[in-house]
Amino acid sequence: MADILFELTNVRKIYQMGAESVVALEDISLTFEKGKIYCLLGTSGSGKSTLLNLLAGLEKPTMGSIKFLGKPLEKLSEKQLTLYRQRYIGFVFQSYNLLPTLTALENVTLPLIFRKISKRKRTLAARKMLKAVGLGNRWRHKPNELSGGQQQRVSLARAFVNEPQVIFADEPTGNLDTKTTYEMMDLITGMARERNQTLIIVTHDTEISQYADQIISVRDGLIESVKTVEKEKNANESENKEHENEDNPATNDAVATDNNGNATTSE
Amino acid sequence: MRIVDVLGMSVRNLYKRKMRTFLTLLGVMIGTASIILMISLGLATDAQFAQMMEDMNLDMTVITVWPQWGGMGWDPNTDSMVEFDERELTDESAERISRIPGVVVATPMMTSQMLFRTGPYFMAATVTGIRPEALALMGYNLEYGRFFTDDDEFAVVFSTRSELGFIDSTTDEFWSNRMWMDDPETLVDIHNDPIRAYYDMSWFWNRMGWGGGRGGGFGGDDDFGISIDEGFTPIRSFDINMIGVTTAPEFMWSSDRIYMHIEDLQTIERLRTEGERREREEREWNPHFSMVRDGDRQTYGEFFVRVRNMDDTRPVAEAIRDMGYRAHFDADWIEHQRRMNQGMETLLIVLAVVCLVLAAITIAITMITSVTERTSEIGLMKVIGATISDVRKLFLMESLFMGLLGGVVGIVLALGISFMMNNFEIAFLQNLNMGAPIMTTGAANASISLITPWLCGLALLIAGGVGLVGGYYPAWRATRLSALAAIRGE
Ligand SMILES: Nc1ncnc2c1ncn2[C@@H]1O[C@H](COP(=O)(O)OP(=O)(O)OP(=O)(O)O)[C@@H](O)[C@H]1O
Ligand SMILES: [Mg+2]
Repeated sequence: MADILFELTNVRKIYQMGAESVVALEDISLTFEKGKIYCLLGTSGSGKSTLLNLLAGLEKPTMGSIKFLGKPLEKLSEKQLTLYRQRYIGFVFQSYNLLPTLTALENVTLPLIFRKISKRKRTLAARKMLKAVGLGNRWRHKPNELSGGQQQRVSLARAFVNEPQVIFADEPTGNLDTKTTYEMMDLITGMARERNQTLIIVTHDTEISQYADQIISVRDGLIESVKTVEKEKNANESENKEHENEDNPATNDAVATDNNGNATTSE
Repeated sequence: MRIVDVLGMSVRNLYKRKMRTFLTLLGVMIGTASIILMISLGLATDAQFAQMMEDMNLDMTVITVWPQWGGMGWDPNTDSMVEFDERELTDESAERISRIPGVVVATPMMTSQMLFRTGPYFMAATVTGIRPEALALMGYNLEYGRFFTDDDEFAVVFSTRSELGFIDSTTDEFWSNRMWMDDPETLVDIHNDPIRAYYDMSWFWNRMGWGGGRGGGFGGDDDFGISIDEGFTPIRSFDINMIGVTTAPEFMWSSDRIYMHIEDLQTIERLRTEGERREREEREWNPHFSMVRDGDRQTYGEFFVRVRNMDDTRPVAEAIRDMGYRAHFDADWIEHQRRMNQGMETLLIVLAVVCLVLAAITIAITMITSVTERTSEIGLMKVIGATISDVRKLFLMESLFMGLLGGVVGIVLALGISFMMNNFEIAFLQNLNMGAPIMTTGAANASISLITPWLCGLALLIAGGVGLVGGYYPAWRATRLSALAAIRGE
């Protein structure tokens, strides 16, 4: 029996815009289990990002309760929510959101900086993580010297360096071309599986949603359906294998494990 | 966040916006430099004052007291115009002043002009009347002989340089002053030559022919056209009885005065006025009354008061003023100068403060721009785990750093300017330094600007403070930014 990470009960989110109120989420009750990959699928404006923000503690639900490992998030103070994100959550954004003044390595260390980890330790961890995303030799570069795909890899490394319980990825491939999109999806899902981390991906692309274990379709602030994906589409994953061979043996292992159908095992 | 990391990130951000940072620094730089220079000018002026006081050897324990003539006047005690009552200086006032705590001696002093002559040599000299018991207390030292006592009648004490006042009436040197010569020749031997004092000067000049148009110069007594015994009765002149030579204390400012018992001088004064009166009334001057001291109630033109030490000067002077007299002491003047100086310093500091306020505003504007520009960066940091205090620290550190950097550059700038002022004696800058009206030798060598380490420290503190003040509001704004902005944006 898998551990329950998030438990949402009757969550509503209403935005008040002056006299007008926008219902972003109607009445959501959901559970997210540890170590699984989820996909929030839906059209634009359906409320996917809102749901993610609520889970990340960036916003409070208008009604209902969100429990993280049994603790209600809405009861936490601003400071506690910050610490919650510091410790348990990694973020991947559509537009990468790297700090332009910092090098790739420093960008990766950023979450550790906020956690007051010593420079030596965090540099070591960041180097390892950059290697894992296939950027082992580009750590000195500033974001504007990297391609979009490379930047997203850096941001991936940043999301994982914290060893978080959950990774939120809001349209992580929205700015990437098709080929890079698949590379990125392989990488992110592979890394999450390898580390037994929960991954919640937001997308409107049904193709991408196939990477998930569960697809949660959102529509007009309501859960339309929750589907479990039957794994039988490994074609494009093996396609990218050679590409990651040198830099990322660990991820390759994870992919291999995945190929054998043992999704939850790692190391 | 660790403070080192905060520092590192702030430096990076400042470095990335080099040009803007530099322009912002300019304000702090100029502000800091000007505040340092201004304070340093003040410090140097103070140092000059100290030097000047030392050079001038001012005696800070002497107070001069004058009678109050009445009417409207400036009261230094209250620093305001007040209506004064008339008040004379009498023996009784001397006694009352003597009783003020801290007073060593209060003595009347009066001065009178007299002529001294021996043979063809004469001098016009200021004769100071003083009480015999006050001489030593006032700081007079004897070089030769003794001071007069109450028993001496018309005894005279010379000063060390008194004899230099004698000039040769047969030459034209009347208008030259031998006092100022480097190594003046002495014409008269005060110890052996018979010297006669003439207190009725108009009469003297008349006899000399200077008043009546007869040519100057007199070789002997007979030149006066009348024999000594006949015309120069003891009333108009007398042979002096020189009993001592004294070195005058510093506050007298002169080393050529001649001293007599104050009562003798009063008697002489009375004789002179009496003589003038009679001459007017009787159109003839033939007084035959003797020079005998009388014990009339006297009023005096001037008192000298010596106090125990410098700290007593002001309270005693104020007490004397409260009694209704006028009182002056040298420290008063110095303090007055100081106050004027302080006024100027205050003005300069106000200027510097304006500079720094502008600098703080510049920093604030730069930082607000920076915060606005980095909205999504700030949001991102908040999302991935920066606490409110981390964000605040980041921006405060940036502005503090900007302030400190500006401060350092400002200090260097100030040191440079100060060095130039001190070494190249830029004339107008020296004129700026109005504090020192008298340039003594010491003051001339003294610095115009004096930058001490503590002043640099203070400047850094101020510069840092300006940075923090300027950065406070922008940092607050940064903490208030929504974390969601990062995710939503673009
Ligand atoms: N801060 C806000 N204030 C007001 N309304 C909001 C706010 N954030 C979201 N909404 C509204 O809530 C609804 C859901 O928005 P949300 O961003 O969750 O959609 P989404 O599914 O992420 O869409 P997309 O795929 O375009 O990102 C939308 O109608 C949106 O206009
Ligand atoms: Mg969205």
